Amino acid sequence: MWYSEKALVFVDTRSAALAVYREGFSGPRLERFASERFASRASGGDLFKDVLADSKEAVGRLSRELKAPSREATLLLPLGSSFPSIVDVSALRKTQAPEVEEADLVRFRLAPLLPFPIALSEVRSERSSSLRGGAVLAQAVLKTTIAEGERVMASLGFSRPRVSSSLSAALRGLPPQAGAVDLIFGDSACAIVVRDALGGMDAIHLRLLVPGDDRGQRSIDEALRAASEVSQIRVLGEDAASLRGKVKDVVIQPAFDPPAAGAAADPQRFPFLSVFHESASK
Amino acid sequence: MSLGLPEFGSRGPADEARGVWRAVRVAGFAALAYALAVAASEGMAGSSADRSMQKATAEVATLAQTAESARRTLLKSSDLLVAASSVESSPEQVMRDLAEILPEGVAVVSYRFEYQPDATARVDLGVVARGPAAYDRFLSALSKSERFSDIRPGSESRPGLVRATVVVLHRPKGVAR
Repeated sequence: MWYSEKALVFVDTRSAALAVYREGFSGPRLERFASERFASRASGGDLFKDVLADSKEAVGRLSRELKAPSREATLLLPLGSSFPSIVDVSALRKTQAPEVEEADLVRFRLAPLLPFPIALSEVRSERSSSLRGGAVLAQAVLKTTIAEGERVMASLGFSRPRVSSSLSAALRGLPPQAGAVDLIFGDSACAIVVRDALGGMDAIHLRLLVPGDDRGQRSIDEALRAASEVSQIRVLGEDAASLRGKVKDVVIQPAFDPPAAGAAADPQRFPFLSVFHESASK
Repeated sequence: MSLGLPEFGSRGPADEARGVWRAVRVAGFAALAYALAVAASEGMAGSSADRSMQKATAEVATLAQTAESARRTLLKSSDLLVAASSVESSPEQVMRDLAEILPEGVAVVSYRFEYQPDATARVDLGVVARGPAAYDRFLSALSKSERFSDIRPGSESRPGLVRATVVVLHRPKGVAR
């Protein structure tokens, strides 16, 4: 199974993308990629069910064009579908009862922060080299979103699809950078990641971007609010140059260099592709 | 998950674990088939005893049907269900159920009840815990209890003495979660 093809299906409120890849000893290698914009009636505040319904034809086309494998496919939920938080489990453990499971501790810390009851959601946590020791990135997703994602993927011919988070994929590819604030853009939401002095993720915030918002200005304002001193902002998923005039005395740069001419798979356009970047944590 | 990404949804654990689980299930089915075959052969020998058992079973089924139709009538009346839940999830009963799971160092200092038309009681609890560990023990015990569900931890103050609010649904015995 090591070298068989696998697929990542990404759906956001206005765009769909599909990446076919293989995994080898040196990590995952992107084989084929294509994306398509689609007209969606959904916006940031709408149900993901509507987005999936609107994207279905586009994903079907991409799947046929790229001859995506029907097994081993993963649907990546867009920014805004999962509610992230960084939880320092080791600090909690120092004062917690040993019989309380780590997954429960994370759920308890996440519950008051969610805009929906924790009972209606699934929570997953992950460790990464970009997190300080003992901290986890926890994400909660509504069970209805997951079920709908699985249903639509199955109806498109993907057998036993997985569901994951595009935010996780994007963060995996971002190398640590001391003191920076990362802005990761989706079609209808933006994640703000505050880095500590060692480059580890210190905090993460999610902001929904509604139609009519100045996406860039709002996100820059949120980044400035999120950290006490911001000297550098890394941008992923948006044109960094378009944000440069919106703030003084802060270096704004793209997270990745431009891809080779003609290359469609650009992590600056689709942040989840950073999981294939050479800097991605394996 | 191949890329090390978190996995949501119904696929469950990794493929290796699923392979082992499949083998366990096959073995389980084989054992079940064997047990059924043995039971069938023994059952034929005791067919006369079965006839009297069948008669008794039919009587029980009739009684169960009557009870079910009475329950359905009750389910049509939300007022009746609210009234029933206020009896079955009375403050005394809820406090008794809470006392069974309340860990050391945690006290319920306030509560407010709202009876629901689905025969449950929504309970807003004010809790004081000796420390974060005790509070998390309480949340863990609540989430494992058959009597309480849909737990929504609210505001809390830390560190040191934890003052927190929790909203839970209380389900009396016999009401499915």
